[in-house]
Amino acid sequence: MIRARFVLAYSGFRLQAALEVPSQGVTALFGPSGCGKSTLLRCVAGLERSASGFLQVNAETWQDDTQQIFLPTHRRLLGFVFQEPSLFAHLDVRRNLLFGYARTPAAQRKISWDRAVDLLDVGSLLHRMPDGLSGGERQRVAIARAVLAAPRLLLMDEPLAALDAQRKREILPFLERLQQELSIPVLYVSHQADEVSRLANHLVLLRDGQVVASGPLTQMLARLDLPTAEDEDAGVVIESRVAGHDERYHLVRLEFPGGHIFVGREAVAIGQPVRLRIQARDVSVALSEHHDSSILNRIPATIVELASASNPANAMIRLEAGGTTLLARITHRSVEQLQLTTGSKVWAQIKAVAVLQ
Amino acid sequence: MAPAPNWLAPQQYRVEPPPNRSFADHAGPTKITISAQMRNRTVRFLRIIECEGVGMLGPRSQYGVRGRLGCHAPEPITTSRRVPKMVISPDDWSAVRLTLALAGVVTASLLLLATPIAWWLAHSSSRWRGPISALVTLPLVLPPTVLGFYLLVAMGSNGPIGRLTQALGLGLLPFHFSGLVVASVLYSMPFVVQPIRNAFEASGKRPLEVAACLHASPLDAFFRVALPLARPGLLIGAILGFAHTLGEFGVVLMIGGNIPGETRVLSMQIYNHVEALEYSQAHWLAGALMAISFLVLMAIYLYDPKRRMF
Repeated sequence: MIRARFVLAYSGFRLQAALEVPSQGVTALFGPSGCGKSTLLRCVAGLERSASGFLQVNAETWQDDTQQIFLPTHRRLLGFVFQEPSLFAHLDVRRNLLFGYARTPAAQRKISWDRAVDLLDVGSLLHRMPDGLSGGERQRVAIARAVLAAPRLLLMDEPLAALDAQRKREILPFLERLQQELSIPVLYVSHQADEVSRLANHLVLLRDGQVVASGPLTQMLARLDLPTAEDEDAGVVIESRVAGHDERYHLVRLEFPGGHIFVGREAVAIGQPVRLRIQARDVSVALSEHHDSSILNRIPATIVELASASNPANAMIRLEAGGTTLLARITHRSVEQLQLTTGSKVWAQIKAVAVLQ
Repeated sequence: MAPAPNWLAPQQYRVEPPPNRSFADHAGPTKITISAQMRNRTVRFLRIIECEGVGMLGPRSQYGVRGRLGCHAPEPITTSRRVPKMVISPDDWSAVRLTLALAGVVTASLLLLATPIAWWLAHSSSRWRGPISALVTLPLVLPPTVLGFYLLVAMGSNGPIGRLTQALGLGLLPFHFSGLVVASVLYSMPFVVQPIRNAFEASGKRPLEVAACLHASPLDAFFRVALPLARPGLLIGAILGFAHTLGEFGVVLMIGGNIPGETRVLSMQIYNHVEALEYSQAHWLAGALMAISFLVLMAIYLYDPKRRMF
């Protein structure tokens, strides 16, 4: 477990956040710009000295102001990846990577040099200077450098925000591999819903310096009472497994509790986990199953909650399909015409699915 | 038809003195070879020398400076237009050596002193930052004589620094090489602090934060990250400090006087030559100083950190 509690006041801004997140997987700190998520991350790193703070990583106490405990940043076993890559301009890539590695006692090293170099594919860059690298390459080096410093906790402050969409696509697979292959917990700050739904296992929502809600990503995104549901791109994330292939139509059948869907995808191994994202705008509801529709994926579900969307024309509905939750955004007019209420049995028609991993 | 004159070819011109004056004691017009474009400018320049430059030396001799320097009143102008030849005396060499030693010691001391000051100014949020900044920059705008005067008083036998140095058994600093070093360090301080401070400010706090997150202690981060990143600033600070000390005059005059081998630096020696109307020697020293200063400054402007010329 990672337990943190920080109180910090600037002129016009107050951070008062307490969080408790699992010490495995990726925890996303998510919220609009200026909500204090980066400040919270800096507090965890010890770069920002809060008026009153408490931080425990696994069993180690890094900060407890009631007991005058404050471990300075350089003695905390953490890695920090900043928004801009921040490589040391006077050192080549190899010596950038060595900077933290050489300062870590051999007994504490968790990942070998070769493995980190391989994992982030920086082997061919070792003798280049930072200003000769592309933005994506620099960020990969920065991530490798952080990982080589044997962190017990990896902090990432919008590591993809400074990159264009192309470079972002280039880096994301590396972040996923990192998460799959290393058991380092990650605190990941972002205001991009797509990054969060792709990478995170756990979600902490921040607003105005305070934690609004915290919990497993799939549960959090399925809630209608949180700011995430008001987002234009609101939607759920579903963990599924590859259950079969349809060779004839080049489709893959993905199973999850309560149903299955088909997606068009290259053949993947049966049983492999696949993360799906289904946006509320891509889900419509019908009172009966429409066999005369082009929509391939239809799942029987029950309405469990109705709420107003941010746009006054629309309503958000939460659907329960045998253990899996879906969100749908439809018009109030449709709600009235179909006489939808909580408990209504409907067919959820899924027009589009994003395969995230 | 007569051919058009070739204005670009070197030609001989006769430069006549202004109608109501003569060229010092030089009888007859001077023959000089110059390119055509320079003709008018050269004529004007020679007139200025005649009317203002050389003529000015006479009246100035009545000021007290000359007495203080221990020079004698000049003989009538007789040597001013002699063609310069190699006439550097052992005294001149001694002044050159002394100047280089002074500039070297001052530059080294300044790098040691100015770096922490620049660091503090770049990173502190203390309310003393403004006043200290102003204090460090003061020599930039103050006449060197003012600084020299206060230092002379402070380092004199009744001044606070003078009492301290006497109590420590160091004697009095004025009119000694060590006094020159102290004064020059203070006088050249802004030229060294400013570029280093700019370099620290330009790289900002981020590299230090990154270093801390990679387990580098603050001191480790300073030497391994902040200083190497500030290298261009340190280099420029060192060059400016060195060059500025080479050309220093006013402070030396006030604090060091004109003691051969001890405080008679290059600028002082040039002054002595000019006072004694030994223009050729003055030419050699002044020209060398100008050339060195020019080369040093040009080196700064050609310096490109990305090309790693240094």
